[in-house]
Amino acid sequence: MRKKRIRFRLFDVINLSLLTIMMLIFLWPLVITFSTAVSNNLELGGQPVFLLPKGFTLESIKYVLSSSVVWQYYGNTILYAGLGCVIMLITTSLAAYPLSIPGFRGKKLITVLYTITMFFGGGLIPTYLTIRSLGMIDTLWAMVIPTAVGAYNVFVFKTFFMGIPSSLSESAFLDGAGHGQVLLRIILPLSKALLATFALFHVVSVWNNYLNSTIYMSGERQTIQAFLRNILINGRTSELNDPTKLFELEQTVSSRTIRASTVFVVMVPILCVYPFVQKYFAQGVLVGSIKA
Amino acid sequence: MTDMQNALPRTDAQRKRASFFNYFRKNWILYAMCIPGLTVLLLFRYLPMYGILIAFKKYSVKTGIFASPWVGLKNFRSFFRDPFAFRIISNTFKLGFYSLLFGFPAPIILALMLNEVHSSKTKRIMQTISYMPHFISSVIIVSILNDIFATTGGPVNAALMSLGLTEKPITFIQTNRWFRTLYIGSDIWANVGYSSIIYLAAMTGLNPELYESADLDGANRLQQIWHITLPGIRPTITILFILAVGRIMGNDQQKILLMYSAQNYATADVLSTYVYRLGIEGANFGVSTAAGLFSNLVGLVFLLITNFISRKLSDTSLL
Repeated sequence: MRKKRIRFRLFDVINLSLLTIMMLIFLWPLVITFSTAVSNNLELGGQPVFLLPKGFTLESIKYVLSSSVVWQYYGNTILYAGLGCVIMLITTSLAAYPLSIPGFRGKKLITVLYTITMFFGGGLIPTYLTIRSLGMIDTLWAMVIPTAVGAYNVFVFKTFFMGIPSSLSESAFLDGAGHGQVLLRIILPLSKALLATFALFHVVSVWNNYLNSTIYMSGERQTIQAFLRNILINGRTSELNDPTKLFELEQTVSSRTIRASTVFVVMVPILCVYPFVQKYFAQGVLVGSIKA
Repeated sequence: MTDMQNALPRTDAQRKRASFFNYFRKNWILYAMCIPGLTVLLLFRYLPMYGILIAFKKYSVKTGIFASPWVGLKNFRSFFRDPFAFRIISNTFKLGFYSLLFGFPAPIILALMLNEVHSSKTKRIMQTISYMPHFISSVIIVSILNDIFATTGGPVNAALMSLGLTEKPITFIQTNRWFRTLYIGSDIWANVGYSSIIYLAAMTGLNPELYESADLDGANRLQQIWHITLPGIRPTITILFILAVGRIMGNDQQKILLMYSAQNYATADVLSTYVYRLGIEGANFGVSTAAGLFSNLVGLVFLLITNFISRKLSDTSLL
């Protein structure tokens, strides 16, 4: 195939320059966080970090990683995100499958029930009180069940399932399979992109949410973001680790570098996982946009 | 053969019931599949709706929802009589409006720019970088924001001073002057890339022949964008716009809670933070729910109006 000769016009030069500047703006805050985290505080001397670290030391990061508290909150968050994600995938698939069956009696009613929740809801207080009256406060379930089912997700799943050629399920029915087996053996294996994308969405949203865990859970069971908020915004860096360790580190470390290290340590897992699922991701949003 | 054994249904209603019953028996598993989803829906979306009654009652935890005395619109009156009520509502609108004004076109522009990049490898790399900030939590964003714009030791102030643009450091954090700018700016930073994905997807669906014939007709790139790309994605823009307007009253509650303090309540306090403060912190459930209900209703009205207008002007609409 003959490659079209690309004429680089002024437009492209300007466009690419502007885009490059934007890319730098996206990356810069992350870069200086890392730079601050690995800077040697003695050399920092209260000066701001513009781009590169001043000095280099891993002490701040080691200090953060050696904190047992950090791992505890990490553990909480992984539990809620992981379990919540599995529950979400299961319940949403189960909910969407019947809706994707042509001629399913009651489809309209159920669809309306879901649609209403897209535009109208109880609000913060009523939801909180409901969860409380169900006795779920400060339990694992408060973090994984209410977010398990959302109308938008159900509809996107449904559209996706409907897009799978019916010939596949039809031949299965002829072979005597029931709906359950069709869902399990045919539909779901073909929906891997969909499931991966929504799994990612869900994990990210649980990971980044701090409010939910502060409202519904007691201190020790909160998520890493809630913990982060205490440290970063409310300034309670001493909760992080044994403050006496700081004396040993002789000033190479300061609350500034520790803060930056904490941010870095919490930010890194998501940023690492992200490129791997990225290829599913772009496809998945396509699916969502088709729905629109 | 079973038809002969069963009595044939006489009336329409009986016939419908019978056929539904048969359908149910054959496909009961489908209905069983619906149960988990509907249960969660019922418990966590519909049951709280019942809690909206709290807005109309003098609720106390001891007496519960049923037994609490009905006070009609008293909670709403309390809310509107609050000396800060007007400020809160106007802040909510202003924040929502400015967010829309700057935040809605931004992803479209980014998508247009990315779409014009020839090399697909560059385009992909740039896309990946652009939606990375979306995955960073509000806590981290606000923390980084506080560090970058810090009055002492912040790079922005240091740069401004060394460039001679200002003599003393500017206080950016938790001030009224800068709150909206910081809020909307960080919002755009975090979300523009992610939001542009939908527009990019719509653009790749456009017919390349249109561009080729425009080329032959002598149209330059900007003209092509204006006359082909933009109209081509108009349905997408319209629907997303309607949805965005519907959300105008709902700001990022979590982020604002992190960015505000008594010093910048005058611009930063909005309905959602008020609901949180009164409800979760102050345990004034009645007024908090009333304010939240008000907020939801206004958002719904906005959505319906915009939807209606859109339906009249073009053929696209959400509902």
